[in-house]
Amino acid sequence: MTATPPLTASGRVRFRRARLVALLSVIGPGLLAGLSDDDPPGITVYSILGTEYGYELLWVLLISTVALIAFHSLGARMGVVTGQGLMGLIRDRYGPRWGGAALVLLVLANLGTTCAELAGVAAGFELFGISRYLAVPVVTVGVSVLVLGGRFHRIEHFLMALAAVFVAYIAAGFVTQPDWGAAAMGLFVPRMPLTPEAILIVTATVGTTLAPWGLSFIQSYAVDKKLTVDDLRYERLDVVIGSVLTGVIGFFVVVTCAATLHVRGVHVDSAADAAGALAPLAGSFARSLFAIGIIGAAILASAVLPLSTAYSLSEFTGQEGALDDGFRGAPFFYGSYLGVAGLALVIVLLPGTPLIGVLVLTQVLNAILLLPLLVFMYLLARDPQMMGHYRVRGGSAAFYLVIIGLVASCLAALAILTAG
Amino acid sequence: MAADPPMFLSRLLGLPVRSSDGVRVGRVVDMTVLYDIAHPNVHRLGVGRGHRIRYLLPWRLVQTYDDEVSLPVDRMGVSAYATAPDPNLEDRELLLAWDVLDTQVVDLVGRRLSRVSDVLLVPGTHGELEVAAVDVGAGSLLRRMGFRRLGDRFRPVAVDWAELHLTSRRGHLVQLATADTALHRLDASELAELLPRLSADRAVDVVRSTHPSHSAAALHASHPETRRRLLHLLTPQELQRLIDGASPTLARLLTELHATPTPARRYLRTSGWRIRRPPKAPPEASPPASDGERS
Repeated sequence: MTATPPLTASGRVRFRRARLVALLSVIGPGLLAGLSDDDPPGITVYSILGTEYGYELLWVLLISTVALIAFHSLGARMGVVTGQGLMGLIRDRYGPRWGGAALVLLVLANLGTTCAELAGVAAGFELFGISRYLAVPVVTVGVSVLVLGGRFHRIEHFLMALAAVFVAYIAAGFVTQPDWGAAAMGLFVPRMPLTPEAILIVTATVGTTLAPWGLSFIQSYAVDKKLTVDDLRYERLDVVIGSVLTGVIGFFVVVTCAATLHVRGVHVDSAADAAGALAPLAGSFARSLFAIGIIGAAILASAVLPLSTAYSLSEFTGQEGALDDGFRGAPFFYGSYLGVAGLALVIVLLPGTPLIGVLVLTQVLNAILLLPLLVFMYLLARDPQMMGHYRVRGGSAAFYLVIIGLVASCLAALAILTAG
Repeated sequence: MAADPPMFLSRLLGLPVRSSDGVRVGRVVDMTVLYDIAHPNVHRLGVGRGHRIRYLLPWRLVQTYDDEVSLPVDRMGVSAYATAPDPNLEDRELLLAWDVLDTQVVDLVGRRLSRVSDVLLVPGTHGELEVAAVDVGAGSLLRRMGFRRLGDRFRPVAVDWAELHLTSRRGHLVQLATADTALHRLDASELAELLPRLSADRAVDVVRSTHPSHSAAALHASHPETRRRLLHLLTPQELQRLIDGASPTLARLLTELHATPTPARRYLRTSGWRIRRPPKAPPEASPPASDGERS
């Protein structure tokens, strides 16, 4: 047996540098899929959670974040091992009927979420006094042209920077001097008011954190990046970082709203109300800061959601589609994108559409549609013929089952209390 | 005598299978072929319940397959073909439902990635059933989803069985292991078109299974990002084999490319969902693109 020679100082530096390069080359899907959950619908739901229930329901956010880590890691692993996105994989393993049903659920959920993103665009611009009837069509058409023309990624970092304004909530959380003891209690000691409203907001929180589109996105993006099983440990780190950041930002949104709006008995009915939560940090500048952030996050997500939907549709039907193909080369792919974006535009601009209602109800819809997708993921991940050596087993399998059970319990409680 | 019309695999799947003594021994779960000729005949019939194959019967035992499959052997005779717990397949044997139906395939002529909606089978004069093509069209997909009338409005989009590459795990490996497949007849530029459509693992398998000079030329013709990714997935021994087999110019370029670190620019979300197609300029006419030239 030969002993491994010890690394020299320069060797260690080279080794660390190689590991860093490896990490940077795979980082992305988890970080961005996780952070995308802090989009306008997400921030709105977290704001309502804190405004209406104070610190009491923070534990929901903790559980949602753990579930996010677990299922995004699983999605990335499935994409890497099988080389297929979620919709294609379901069709491959369970046939076109089950696959078609899953696809319909996903498209419905994505359409609702795209509506919510465009509603975020409308709310953000209305804070500047710009009508939604001008802002939403201009943004939708502009984003579609940039994405389908293959140039959107050039402004992506700029939009990410705008969306990063939400990080201000972390600072706001400290400035508002919340009751940290109550926050810790709310985070680790579950208490649950058994009212339909509380169950609704809990379900919406689960739905916005662990969104169906995020699950399909991370798997198809891991495929697109052509990651291999050797990249999995870095990808897992990527997912954990993204999910924890999502949870941390969500935590501070809830804490900020609990310390300001909840104690004054304010109710959040519009984006402007939620913007008031930033006032302790930025004073009168808060509304503008909030509006810029919500617009950046909304534009970013409204670009990615139709794209992710078009990818899932193409993958299921077997129609090859890519951003390089042009409309003539991939009419189904491009048509799917335009169909989702166009329909969402029409829905949001229908007179009398209540924006906050659209945001919250979409997250509830996401939570309802989430359950079958989680079950499909669990079954596929357990399948030795699909996953081989990387199949989920033992304690991990039980953990995924517990999360699925919790989501199912939320939905069952919502159904029972609403019916009653 | 007019030849029987082609039929779809999905029509046969699920048919009840009855032995000569009238006992229903199961349903058609799958059918197998031996991947050794351009258009193979169905080799065995997988019979079982649900998705589990319990018996693998030689196709020659099938007498009729209209509304149900009838066998000339009794139930005891059928049990001689029991296969459990997993089907014991021969080296080059593929399951048409499991390894082909609904899986992704690359149409090597049209050079597009598609998903198999159905498999077209042509009955022969002596009872054999030949695998002619796969249908990648929407019609078969809609029919199998239960929308028969709507599906009938679409004509099949057939891809010749001999001109496709399967991406299912077993299908991919069996095809790579077979010398005379369409994949191994592709020239370097055609191979470069194929590589970005496969997952990284599958693409590296193709590079490994192709002659080094051919692989090196295909990598050289590939999009810089595809080339860089695949080169970094090869072991040092595999890379050396590739360099040894390449022309001196290509060998130098491959060595330089491999020495270039992987760029950490891949975390842009919407820069994805592209097929990194080979550049249009002939590879010999221009040097490999630098990072800045990438899209």
